[in-house]
Amino acid sequence: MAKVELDRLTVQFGDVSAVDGISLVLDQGEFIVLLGPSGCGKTTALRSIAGLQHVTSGEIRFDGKAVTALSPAKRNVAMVFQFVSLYPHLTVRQNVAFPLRAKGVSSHEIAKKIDWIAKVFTIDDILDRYPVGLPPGSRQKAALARAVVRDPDVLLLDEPLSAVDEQYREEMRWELRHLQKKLGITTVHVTHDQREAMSLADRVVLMKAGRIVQVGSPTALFNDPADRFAAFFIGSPGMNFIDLTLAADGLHVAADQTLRVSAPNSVLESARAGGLNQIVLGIRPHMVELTSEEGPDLLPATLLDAAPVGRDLQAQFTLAGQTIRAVLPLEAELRDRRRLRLPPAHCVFFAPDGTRLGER
Amino acid sequence: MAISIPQDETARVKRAPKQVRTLPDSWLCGLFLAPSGLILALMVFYPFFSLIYYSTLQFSMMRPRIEPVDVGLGNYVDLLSDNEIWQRFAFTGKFVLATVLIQFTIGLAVAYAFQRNFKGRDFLFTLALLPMMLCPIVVGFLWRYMFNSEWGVVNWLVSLVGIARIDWLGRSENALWAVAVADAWTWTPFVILLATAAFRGIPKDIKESAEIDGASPMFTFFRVTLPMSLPILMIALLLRLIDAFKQYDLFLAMTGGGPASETQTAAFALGKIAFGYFHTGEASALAIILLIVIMGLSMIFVRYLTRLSNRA
Repeated sequence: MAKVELDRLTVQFGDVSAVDGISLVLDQGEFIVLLGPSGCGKTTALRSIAGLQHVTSGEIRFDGKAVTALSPAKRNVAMVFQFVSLYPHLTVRQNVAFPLRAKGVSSHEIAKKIDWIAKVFTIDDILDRYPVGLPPGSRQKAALARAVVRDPDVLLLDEPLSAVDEQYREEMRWELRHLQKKLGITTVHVTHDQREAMSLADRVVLMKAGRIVQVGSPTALFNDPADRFAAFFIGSPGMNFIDLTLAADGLHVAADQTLRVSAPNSVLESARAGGLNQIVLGIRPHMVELTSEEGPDLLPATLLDAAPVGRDLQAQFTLAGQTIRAVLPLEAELRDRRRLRLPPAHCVFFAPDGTRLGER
Repeated sequence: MAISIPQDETARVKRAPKQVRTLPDSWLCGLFLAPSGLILALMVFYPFFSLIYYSTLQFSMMRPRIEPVDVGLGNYVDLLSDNEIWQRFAFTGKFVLATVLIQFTIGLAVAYAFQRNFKGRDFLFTLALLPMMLCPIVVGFLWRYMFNSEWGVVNWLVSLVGIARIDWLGRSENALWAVAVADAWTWTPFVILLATAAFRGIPKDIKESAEIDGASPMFTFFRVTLPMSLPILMIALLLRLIDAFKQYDLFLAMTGGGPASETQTAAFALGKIAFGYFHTGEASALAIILLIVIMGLSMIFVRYLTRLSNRA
C-alpha cells in the first residue's frame, strides 16, 4: 500500500509520445481508473508503473522513493493482464503460490496464505483445477488472487474484465470494488469502458493522445466535463451537442433564429471575449425534458423515432436539422408534447475547438 | 497455345449437372485412395510382413538355392540369449544417453540465449543450424580427423592444457564420447530450432507476469518456460532418441565398430549380420526387435504427450 507519484512521465516510441508528460498523485489505498480510447497511452502509463515499459523521461515514486530504474520484481507491484495470464501448466493453487515460491516463502507460510486468499476471493472450489477448463470470470479471480497474495504496494489492472462475459462483468465489477476497499491496496485500473470506470473508481483519470484531459471523481467527470472530449467520452447514451449561433441579441440554435437558448452571462462573456459567433451546447439525454407548455426557451422539435429501453423511453428529435437524443420516462406522452426544455443547470457550453466556456 | 472449346461442348457442360451419374461416395473415395493405398501396401506392408516371415526362417539371401528352414521363434531365442547382442544394446543405450544429454543441454542453453535481442542474432542462428545440413558420413570423417590421436586438433587442444594425448577412437569408452560429440554436433541445431520455436510460443503476458511476480530468470526458466515448452521438447526428444538409437554411419566412419566389436551399436550389429555374414533370417529377427524397442519408446512418449495436451 503505497502512495504513487507520476512526475512528468513521458514514454516515446520513436517520434511518437505514447505518454506525454503526465503528472499524477495516487493516494494510499485509492482506486484510480485510467480511462480513454485505445491509443491514448493509458496502458503504456500502467506498464511504466509496473516497470515493464522503459520510461523516456520523468519519474515514478512509490512513497516518495524513486522506482523508475527498478525492475518489476523489485517494485513489489502486482499486475493482472487483459487476457488471462495464469500459467497454464499449473493448477490455480500452484499459480497463486507462484509469486510466494519465487520469493522463497516457506511451504507452511504459503499454505496459510492460500487458505486466506482463497476465502477472500471465494476460489476454494477451483484451487486444484487447471486454468484451461475454467470460465473467464473464475480465471480472472484466480489471477487477482495471485496478484494480491503477496501484499503488493500497488495493484495494476490492465482491462481485466474485458475477457469476461457481459452478464458476469457487472458482478465482477462490484466484487472487485469491494475487495479493493477491503484489502486497501492502491490500485490502478485501465479501461476504455467508461461505465466500468464510473462504477469502480475513486477518481477517474481521463486521457487522450498521451495527456490527461481531466482527473476527478466519476460524478465530477459526469457533471462537470473539462472539455467537449470529456463530455463526449463519458455517459451513455452520449451527450447531445447542439450548434448555436451567438448573435448581438443572444443565443439561438444555428440556422434558426426563432429557437432561442439562454446561457449564463459568464459563457456569453467569454465567448464574446474570444470573438466567437458559433458555440456548442452540451446536454445529457437524461436531462432533456419534454413539455406541452409554451414559452421562451422551449424548443419545438420534431420526433424522429422512439423506442422503449428497459425503464426508459429513448427518443430522437430533430431541431433545425440537428439531432437531439432524449431519455424520457416510459410513460412520456410523445404525441401532444413537442417542446423540449433544456434546463440551464444541466447545460454546458463549449467553444468550437472543444474547450469549455464559462465558469466550471 | 490457346485452347478453344467447341461450341456444342460448352453447351453440354452448362446443362449437364443433373444427368451425370456417379458412383456412390464411398466407392469414389476408395477409387481416389486406391493408388496411394497400393503404393503404401507395396512399399510398407509387403516388406514389413515379409520381414516378419523371414525372421522365422533360417536362410541366407546369398544362397537362394539352399532351402530355408522354418525355425519358428528360434532366431529370437538365439539372439536374446546371446550375450554379445545384449552388449550391443547396452552400448547403444549408453551412446543414446550421452549424445541426447549433450544435445539437450547445449541446445536448450543456446536457444535460451537466442531469446534475447542482440546484434547479429539472425546470422548466428543460421550459422548454428549449418551442421544439421551436412551428410552424416562427411561429419563422420570430419570428426575422425579431428579426433585422430596423432595429429588431430582435439589432442592438440588437450596438449595445450598439459594433458597427455588421448586415444580417442581406439578405446571404446573414449570412442563412445567422441562419436557422441560428433553426433551431438550434427543434431544440437535441431534441438536449438525446436526449443527456440517452443520458447517463442510462450505468450508475452505470461513472461511479463512471471517478471512482475518477482521470479528470477532462473526460476522463470525452470518453472514457466521449460514446463510450457514441454510438448514440443518431448517431440524433439523422441525424434532425437529414435535417431540416436539407429546411429550407424558415424560409427562406420569413425571407428568401424572397433576395437573388436566394442563400438558397434545395435543397428551396426544388424548391418553386419545382414550384409556381412548374410544371416538373413537372424538379421530380420534383430530388425524386428529393434523396431519393437523403438515403438515401445514412442508409445511411452505418445502417452505422455496425450496426457500433457489433455491438461492444457
